[in-house]
Amino acid sequence: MQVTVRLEGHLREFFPKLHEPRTVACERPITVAEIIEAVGMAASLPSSVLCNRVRVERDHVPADGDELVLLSPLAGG
Amino acid sequence: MIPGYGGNILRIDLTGKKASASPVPEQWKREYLGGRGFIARAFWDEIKPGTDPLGPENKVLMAPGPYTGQFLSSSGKLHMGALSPATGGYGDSNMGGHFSLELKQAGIDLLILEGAAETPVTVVIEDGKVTYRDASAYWNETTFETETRLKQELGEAWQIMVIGPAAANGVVFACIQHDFGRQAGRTGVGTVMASKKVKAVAVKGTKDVKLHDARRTLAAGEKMMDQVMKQPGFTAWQPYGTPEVVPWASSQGVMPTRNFQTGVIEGFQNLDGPTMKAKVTEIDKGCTSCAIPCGKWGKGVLNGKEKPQEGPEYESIALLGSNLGITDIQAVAYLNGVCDELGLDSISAGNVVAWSMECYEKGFLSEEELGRPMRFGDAEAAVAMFHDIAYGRGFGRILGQGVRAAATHVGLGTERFAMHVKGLEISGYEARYAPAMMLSYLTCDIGGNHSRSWAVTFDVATGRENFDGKAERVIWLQHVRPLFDALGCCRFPWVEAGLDPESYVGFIEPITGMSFTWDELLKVSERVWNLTRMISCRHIPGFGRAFDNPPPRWVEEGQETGPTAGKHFTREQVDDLLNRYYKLRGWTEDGIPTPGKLEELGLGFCAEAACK
Ligand code: SF4
Repeated sequence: MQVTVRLEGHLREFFPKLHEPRTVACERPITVAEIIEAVGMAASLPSSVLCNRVRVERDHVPADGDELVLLSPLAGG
Repeated sequence: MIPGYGGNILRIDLTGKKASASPVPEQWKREYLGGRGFIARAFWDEIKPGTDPLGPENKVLMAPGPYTGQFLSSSGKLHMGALSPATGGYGDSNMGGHFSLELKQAGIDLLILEGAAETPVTVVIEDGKVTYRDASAYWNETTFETETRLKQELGEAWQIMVIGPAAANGVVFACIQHDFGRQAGRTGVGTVMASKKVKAVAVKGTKDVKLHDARRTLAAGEKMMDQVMKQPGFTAWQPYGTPEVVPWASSQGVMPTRNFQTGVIEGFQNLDGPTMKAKVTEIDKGCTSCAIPCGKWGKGVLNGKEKPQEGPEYESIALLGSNLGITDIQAVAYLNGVCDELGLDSISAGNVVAWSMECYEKGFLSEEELGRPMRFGDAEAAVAMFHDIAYGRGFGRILGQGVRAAATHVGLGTERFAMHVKGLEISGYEARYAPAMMLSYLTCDIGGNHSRSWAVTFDVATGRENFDGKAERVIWLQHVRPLFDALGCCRFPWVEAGLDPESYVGFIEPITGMSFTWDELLKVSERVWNLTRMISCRHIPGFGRAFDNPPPRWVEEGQETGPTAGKHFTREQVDDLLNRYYKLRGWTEDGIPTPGKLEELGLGFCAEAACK
């Protein structure tokens, strides 16, 4: 199965290799936390994760073809 | 004349009740843009060394920017400045709402309030014409009461800013309030306005602002509005506003808790965005032309008492919630409403009351001295103390002079946990093991504030123990973030919704006809940064590295709990951070801009004031 991962906000600056959306291929369904770690980031770093534009928790398991957006924490007003 | 501006500096001498207008120098527009840039430039000329922050020679400066109200999203910001009674140095604060556009449409790019009236006044500005109303009868009224009164007297079309009892009674962290919940909160600009006996300023402007190319400005603005609303960050963030970050801040150990003793609060879930939306928020409330809008209007509740208020936003949740050991969002909203109506900066107020609670719990101050037991978690005690502060009663009068002065007054080692930088109470991020964020606080030109550089995510992403790249990042942020304050717009479409900051370059030419590259805009910001540093050099004897100091707590003890429990940097490591920062800035080892640096930035006129 494949899941697309997109970064938003400051996270794009910190992980320039992920500036463009990345497709993560996995043999079995895995959690959001595992997908974040698979792209080289601590699972706790994004403040929120959207799956197909809906907020999900780190233990959510996306389906094949879903899009995850990893949001940077709010940047201090 | 360069378009995109109101055109004038309006100077109001309160002593003689005289007003005069003069054109803004064209060179200022090119070199300082507006807003914070104009404030800093005028500060240098207008406020002389030796000025008493509460004397008539201090001035309150207010400036919109070229982007204010010009079709782009979130362009209702006003910058204000004065010599700070809290720090003794450069002070400024930024406020949203609708005052800024009204001022610009009254033809004003810089408003200067100088001198002092004999008796309380409300200053009324209509298209640049100034009249005065006697405000004696309502001098000690709450902010909400006076704003309501003036809206009723003058009409809804007027935009009004007011001070509350805190300013009237000399609290050094009193704010200016506008639109029932927007604040110029930091550095005591409200206190300076009160020292001039100005209770309120009302403005109405009906003039057109000429643009270089209105069609292209409108097209760029429409495109931006569309982009903002399509951003995934907008979807996630807008329903909650800044409280959205609460769970992240607590999980990373950066949420100040019980006077910064730790950075993790049990029960943070009761303070987060969804809880606030469910229990407090009634409607969204925003500034001029904002597609986002982040403001949330609703009711605070404490023991059955209700208080309508705007917010609380993240900083208030951190300082009035976790930092006071309170995890009931309705109670935090109530406290926020109390601070707003009294005209207290909720950041400083939460900080000083947290310090008093730690003093009480550790036996440095007694119930008799404080007027009541001050325990963490006791929201009623906090409400009572906010009133004591605002009305100058009992120990509240001491706390009203700021945490630095209060700790000096009490002594007994309580200075070790007085959480301030340069005399300004630290805002909502616990940073003892976050080097870039700590450096942001230490070098912020107004003192312990987050708004110039917010670098916690960078610390977490690149390693908290790692110093490499931290000073570079802080400097970059200190140029980018305040640029928005010079342009007169809000940075949330960038920092929260995720727009590319460089996209803001595209507005400058259609609005003003001036051409700037992104790097040239950042150069303006660097100029302003060095100028504000020189202003503090000029006003604070011995100013330099010794003023870029962390509170002892941050270099002597680790957090009690959380992911970085027990960890902190040493004074030597902090010195290392500062050395790297000063070197990159082209400053001396004592943190003073060199004459060469000042010349390079077109600031040769302040070289002579380098600190002795
Ligand atoms: S995002 Fe919030 S602070 Fe910024 S302009 Fe909009 S309502 Fe005002």
